[in-house]
Amino acid sequence: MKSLKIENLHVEIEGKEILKGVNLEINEGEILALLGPNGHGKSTLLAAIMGNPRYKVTQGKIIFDGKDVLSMSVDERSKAGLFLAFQNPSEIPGVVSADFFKGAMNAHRENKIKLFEFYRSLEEACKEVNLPFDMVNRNLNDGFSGGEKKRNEILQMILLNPSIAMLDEIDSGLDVDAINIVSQSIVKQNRENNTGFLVISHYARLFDLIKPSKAAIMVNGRIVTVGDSSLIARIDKEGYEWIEKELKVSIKKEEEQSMNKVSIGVCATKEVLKNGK
Amino acid sequence: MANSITSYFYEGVNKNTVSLKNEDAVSFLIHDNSNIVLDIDSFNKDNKISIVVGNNSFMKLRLLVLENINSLEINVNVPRGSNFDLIIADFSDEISSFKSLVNLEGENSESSVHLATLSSKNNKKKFTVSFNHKVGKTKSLIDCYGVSKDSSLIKIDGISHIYENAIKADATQKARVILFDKESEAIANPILKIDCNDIKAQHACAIGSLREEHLYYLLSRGIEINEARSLITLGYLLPIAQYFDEKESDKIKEIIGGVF
Repeated sequence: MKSLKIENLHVEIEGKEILKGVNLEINEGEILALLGPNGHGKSTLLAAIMGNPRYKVTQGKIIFDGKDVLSMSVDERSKAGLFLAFQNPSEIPGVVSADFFKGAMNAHRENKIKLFEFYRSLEEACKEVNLPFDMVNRNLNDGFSGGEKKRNEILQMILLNPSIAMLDEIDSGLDVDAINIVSQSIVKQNRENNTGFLVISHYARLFDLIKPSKAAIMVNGRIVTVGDSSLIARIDKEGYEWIEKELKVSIKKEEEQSMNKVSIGVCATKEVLKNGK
Repeated sequence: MANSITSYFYEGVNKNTVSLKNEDAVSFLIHDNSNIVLDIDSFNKDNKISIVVGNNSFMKLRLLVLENINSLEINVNVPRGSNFDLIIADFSDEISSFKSLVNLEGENSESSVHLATLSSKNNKKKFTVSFNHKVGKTKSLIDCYGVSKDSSLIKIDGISHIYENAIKADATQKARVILFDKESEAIANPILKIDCNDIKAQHACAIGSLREEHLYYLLSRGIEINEARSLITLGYLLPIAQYFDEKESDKIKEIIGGVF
């Protein structure tokens, strides 16, 4: 059984430390709910596991199936069996979805997939997540609605069949029907292929449907407690305040983001500057 | 000694292919009421092309540039009710100077230039695409896509001149260049010279680095870095292939696929 172990992980972005010693373990076949207030490092953890170059690991280890994940490139992590469904999937104009799916599937195989097999897999996956098949001819996520993007992430998960799938707020932007479709796919993937899941969500509805076996709570860049699914029900009912009292952890408030410096110009700017007015 | 000019006459509805090898200069004369597609598949070091399109005619000139070129100059006159489209797929190592000038001389004449160019190593590619809207109710489009990698340069000057009294002229310029590497460079100058009121003119120009999050997204699905870059390049430049026939289109895909 493959397992993903995170040991004393410290991660920073632009010099600011976000993760301050995370310890967590997830095995194939498990569904682990990762909970925590906004801005406390949940998405950062997933991004660091996948190898997002914006995040710098300053200390700690990530071990997957006995291998050092931190020494792997992003594509190697995927090929090793890790998958991240993004919170905000990139829109990539010009890259045709079908070409991308085929490239991704071939990357996970020794021999290139046959065209018939590829289209059959794609058609089945589209049907499962209720995306129209002609979507595969569109540019990747370009012009997709929020719900279509999220279902497209699940479609890719189905095609790539990972050992551990990390889902970052996969339910945000989904209507009730789409949440049902996505959760059915998660459960199916877990039962039929023994995929382990690390799932971030703020809503108990998704967890009710996928029934996590474990739950972990992240506060201030650390996992403060790990337990069974009763943790989810408690947070849904009481929020996070009880953590401060019972675990003696002071929850830092989310910092306000300062606005980026931007300059907005128009064609007339040049002339105005030239005239010194 | 004066340069020799070879002239070609076309009429009716047909498709032709011409080589510019060993030609100093060529002229193409298109009869009235014709519909001509012309492919140029090989070039001299220095090339001069002049084109006169007949009344109520349509001409599409397609250039698939795979050889190094010092200079390429194209001058076109488009009269009333006619249409001229220039398609350039440039995958050469070098185009020191490309200049096209289309004179829209009659009402309801239209023209477009579609350019896709890939520049690599330390090559410098310079394109000047010009339109003169000499009369009213004329329409032009400049649509350029470039990918600059290594320490190469792509420079695109788009010049749309709308003359006095060219009422209801319509000029559009679009240029997008993506920079693949730290040393890559691109310059785009959209120039609109407008001497008339009651016209429509717009330009959009975007130069930017390869977006790291796009690359990361592709890599996160197991696609290797070179293939990811190739996919993005393909997406950027491939739309030009739609203007070509299947054989040339396949060639374009093959070239882009083999770049990284």
